[in-house]
Amino acid sequence: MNLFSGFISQYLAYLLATAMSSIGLVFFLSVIKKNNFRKDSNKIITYFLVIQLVTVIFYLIIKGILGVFKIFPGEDTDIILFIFLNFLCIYIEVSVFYKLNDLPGSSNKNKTDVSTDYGKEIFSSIRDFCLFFVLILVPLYVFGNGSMNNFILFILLDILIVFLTHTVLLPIVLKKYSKSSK
Amino acid sequence: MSGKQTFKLVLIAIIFSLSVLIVLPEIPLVVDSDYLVLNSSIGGMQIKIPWSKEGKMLDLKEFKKGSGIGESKKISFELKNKDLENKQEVISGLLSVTQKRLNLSRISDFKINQEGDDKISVTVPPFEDVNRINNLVTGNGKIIFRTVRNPEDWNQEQFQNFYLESDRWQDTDLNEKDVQGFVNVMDPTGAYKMQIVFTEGGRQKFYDLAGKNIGLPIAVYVSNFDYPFLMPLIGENILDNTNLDPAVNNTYPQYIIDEYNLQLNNPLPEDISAVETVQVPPVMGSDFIEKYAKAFFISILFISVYFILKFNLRGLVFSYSLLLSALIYLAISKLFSIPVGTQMFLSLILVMGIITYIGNNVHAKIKNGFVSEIPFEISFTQILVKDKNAISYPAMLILSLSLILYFISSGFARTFYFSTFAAILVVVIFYSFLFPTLLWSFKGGEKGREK
Repeated sequence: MNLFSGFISQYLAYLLATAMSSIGLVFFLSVIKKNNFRKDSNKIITYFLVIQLVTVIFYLIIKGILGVFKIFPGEDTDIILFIFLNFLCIYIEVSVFYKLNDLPGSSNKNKTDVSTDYGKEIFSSIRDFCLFFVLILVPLYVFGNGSMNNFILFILLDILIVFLTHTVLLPIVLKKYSKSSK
Repeated sequence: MSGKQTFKLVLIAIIFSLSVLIVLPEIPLVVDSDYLVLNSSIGGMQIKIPWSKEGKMLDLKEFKKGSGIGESKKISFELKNKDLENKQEVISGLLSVTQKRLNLSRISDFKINQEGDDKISVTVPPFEDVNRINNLVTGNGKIIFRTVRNPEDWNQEQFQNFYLESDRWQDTDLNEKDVQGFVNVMDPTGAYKMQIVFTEGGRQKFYDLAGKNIGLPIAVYVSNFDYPFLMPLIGENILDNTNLDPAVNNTYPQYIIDEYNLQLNNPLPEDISAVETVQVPPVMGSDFIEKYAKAFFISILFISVYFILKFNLRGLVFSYSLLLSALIYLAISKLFSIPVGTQMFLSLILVMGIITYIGNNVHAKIKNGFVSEIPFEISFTQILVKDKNAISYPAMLILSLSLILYFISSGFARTFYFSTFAAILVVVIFYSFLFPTLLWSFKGGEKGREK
């Protein structure tokens, strides 16, 4: 029991960020979904939650590996990098959901179009989203006073993880979505 | 250009000027030449808050510096009893209790460390009050009720002497184990009173004690203070309703009551005392703000070059909107005392990244519209009016989440949630006002060229 409460108190901020992001995402997407998308939306929201979970696990694994090599973001900054990661995921997922939600009707033809055309659009959209962050971070790394360089590298790591998980997993979700009512 | 559009542009100009004035530190303007003599300054304003009764000033001289940026304060505490056998266990308990107390008291950016085998240290940013931290950390959460030692000495004129001299009192067996906490309540006349919430057994003990001390004061000492926290005079009607907890006239602000409750609910394993307070030089370097302000500016320049190359002159409209948004964010941060530090750094990156992404999407769609010979007005209405939710929904979710999490979190993350809330607020201002207004105003010149 002590071990459990110790774990909870140590990782409360992380659990809070993850839980609230997931609950917020589910609630928000449930509110904005349109009637014609109602049938598919639950499945899509579940997929999004899985992607978010995979992103978090991936981040924790990479952070653990870096920890083995004594590379740490800093005792306090770790939590804000984790929150940043969650917010990036949410931003991308809501944007994608909006696009799917806004498609006229939910016929099989539309769904197939989504998996092919919109898959490419999602990829370029996420790529641009991440590249703009990189464009901002590079001058900060080069022209700053060096004290935040480690932190900047961890921000880049966040962006890389979000890019990888969302460009790999979101197209899979879309394929499943297109096959769902065939 | 319509009157409404002109008004919006004037408003943007005013917002820009105000943001610059808020963000700028005090810069002296001194000219002493044959043609002009000027001895003035710009920026670093101090504004008197009109509704403040105490004549409070809004000091905009400089940004609030977080830990690591400004000179932090390191306060050391040591065990009063140095002969303990289980020192390590006690120190571990102390670290945990102190962490909890400071978190619950919303102290920002603090760090707690063990120093040697009988000391701990708390490092706080320069803007935190050292005395408050001292009280929060060293208050042992003990309470003792005392009665007058020689009742025949008591009279109303002697109140101050009784308050100041602790040897006029004797201990009772009523202590912190009998008390659950203090609460502020309002009595039927509308006056604020402090209610002492006893345990079931504690309340009985108190009324027994009060019954024997009618006409005399009872002193409540907390955290081994030299003076009583409360010293109510027991009235004749005290025993009228012994099922209710007693209440006394309250002169303490809410935060004092909260802090005593915090100490009571999170007692120290052993008594500690403050040893010294030392200044810690900024670990992020004394040139942090200067260097990173330049670096952010260069980032904006990079983005501007990208937009101008990709979208011609309309890209310049976006660049100005981005610069203005960054300025508004900094102005909001200064106004709401968001400390300069890693949290603000990351929020600024977030706001710039999201704004750039939105700007790129909007411009790309407008450009595609031009290629398909769709007039600018139609593309603009479609993207920024009819389909505005595509931009606003993700931002609104993060805005709401950061606000909710700000209220339920503590410590380092809490400041980040607040700065993220401010950052996303700026994103909302960007896509709902700044960018559409500027884009609409400067559409003419570009339309012909792109066609």
